[in-house]
Amino acid sequence: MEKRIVRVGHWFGALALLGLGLWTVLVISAPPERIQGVVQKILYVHVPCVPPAYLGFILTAIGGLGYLRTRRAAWDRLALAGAEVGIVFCTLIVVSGPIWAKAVWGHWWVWDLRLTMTLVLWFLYVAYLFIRALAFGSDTARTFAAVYGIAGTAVIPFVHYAVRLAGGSAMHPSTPASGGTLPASMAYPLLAGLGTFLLVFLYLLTRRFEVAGLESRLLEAGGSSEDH
Amino acid sequence: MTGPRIALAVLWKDIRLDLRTRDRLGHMAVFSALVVVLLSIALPTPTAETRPWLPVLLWVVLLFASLLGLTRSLQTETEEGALAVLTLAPCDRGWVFLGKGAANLIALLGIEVWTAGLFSVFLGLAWGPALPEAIWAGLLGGVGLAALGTMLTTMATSARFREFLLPVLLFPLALPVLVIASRATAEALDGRSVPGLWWGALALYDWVFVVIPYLTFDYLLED
Amino acid sequence: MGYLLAAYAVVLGTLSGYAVRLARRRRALLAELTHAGHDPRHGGDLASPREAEPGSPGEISS
Repeated sequence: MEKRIVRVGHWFGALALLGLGLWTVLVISAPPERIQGVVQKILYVHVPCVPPAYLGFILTAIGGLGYLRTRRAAWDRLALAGAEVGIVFCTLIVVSGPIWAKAVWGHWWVWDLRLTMTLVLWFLYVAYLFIRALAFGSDTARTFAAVYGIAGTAVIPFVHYAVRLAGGSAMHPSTPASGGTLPASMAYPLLAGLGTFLLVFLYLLTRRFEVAGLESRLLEAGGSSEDH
Repeated sequence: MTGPRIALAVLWKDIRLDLRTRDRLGHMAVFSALVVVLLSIALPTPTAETRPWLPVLLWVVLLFASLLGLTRSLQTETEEGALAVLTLAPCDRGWVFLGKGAANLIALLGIEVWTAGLFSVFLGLAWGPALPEAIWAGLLGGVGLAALGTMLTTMATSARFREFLLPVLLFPLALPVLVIASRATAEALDGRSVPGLWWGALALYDWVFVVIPYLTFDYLLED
Repeated sequence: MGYLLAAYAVVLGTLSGYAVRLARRRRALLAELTHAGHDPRHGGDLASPREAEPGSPGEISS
């Protein structure tokens, strides 16, 4: 099973490269927006980072559940890969958003529901990676991480609710991420970006998964390498 | 022994420990008194505009006080190997969690009453008619913090840099409790009625974080 | 324009940097495994190393 996942990963990589080419062409040829100008094109790189981040965090919970039920290390590796790759994309959301905000609103950081929400998620999964790194003993670390990963995903709707409760305005444009109301010339690069980044995510996920498998094999073979 | 009796035994043991040594409750009480006095000196006299901040400050003080208490119990558990003994309990270990959580909750409720009193003495927070709803907020928020704290303390016990790891784990998960409970307290103090949905969300959150550790405590105490 | 380029550079740079890091780590691990005498490419399914190398201690004890 794991071998098959790793092999499929190469295909994801190849498809992602193709997608990146298509996406680049579409982004360059997309017309600049009337009011915001060319800066609006940050949208095509910002929004596609969102689904992979959430997908990674959901996979963390699924992997954690699977690990607690079956105690198979492969599930745990899936959880780890999901969290780490998810954090990478989450970081990119948090970084690329303010760049756009600075260009359009004139401020790096404006209180906003989704912005704050993403930041809290970022802290949650950084905590997850911390517990993986700091817990003694690999089985213990895996178990704790599994429980924390499940708890983290269970908390997402509550964080959303709480942040909405705490805040006043929502600065995010209400355009849905699917680009439903965008003209075609702008919707296509966005859709291409969404698809491509999903492929990039799957490629990185399978690679991280494979690396985690190799690491544990090396540990088992009595290798000299330390954990991580 | 049946599960509920184990839970009661654990609860009783922890309460007796708290009462005998008094250092956990003492640390928390002194800490919140210090912070409240500091706030009362440093804060300008609350105006109508800044008054809603007081409940938020109250809950932040409570969060840090509970963190202090949890860190203290973390040390007791590791130094005396108390947790290792608890794993031998001949029952579903979820009940051990419920017992420990209840002990943490009782300590936290005591600190809540104490801190709320300090806020009314030093910062002029008038509870008056808001009291019933403030009590609800304290109860529901307390259950959430205690459940989360108990679960995460157990995790942090067997990790490096425990005292650092615990807040890192606790704060993101505690955020919804903190926001909803402090908003509810603020609404009540303002003389408005708190929307039922807030109570529902808070109660559901508590429920989730009682059920998750209850079901997984078997795994958490395994090693 | 500067902001636009910065956003794309950060995102694409991070992603490719991460991919390169993973690829390097993977290659290093493969090399180390081969060196240790456990040829990972013919070692069988990664999921069940116990089948691949009889006698080695199990990865997880259930």
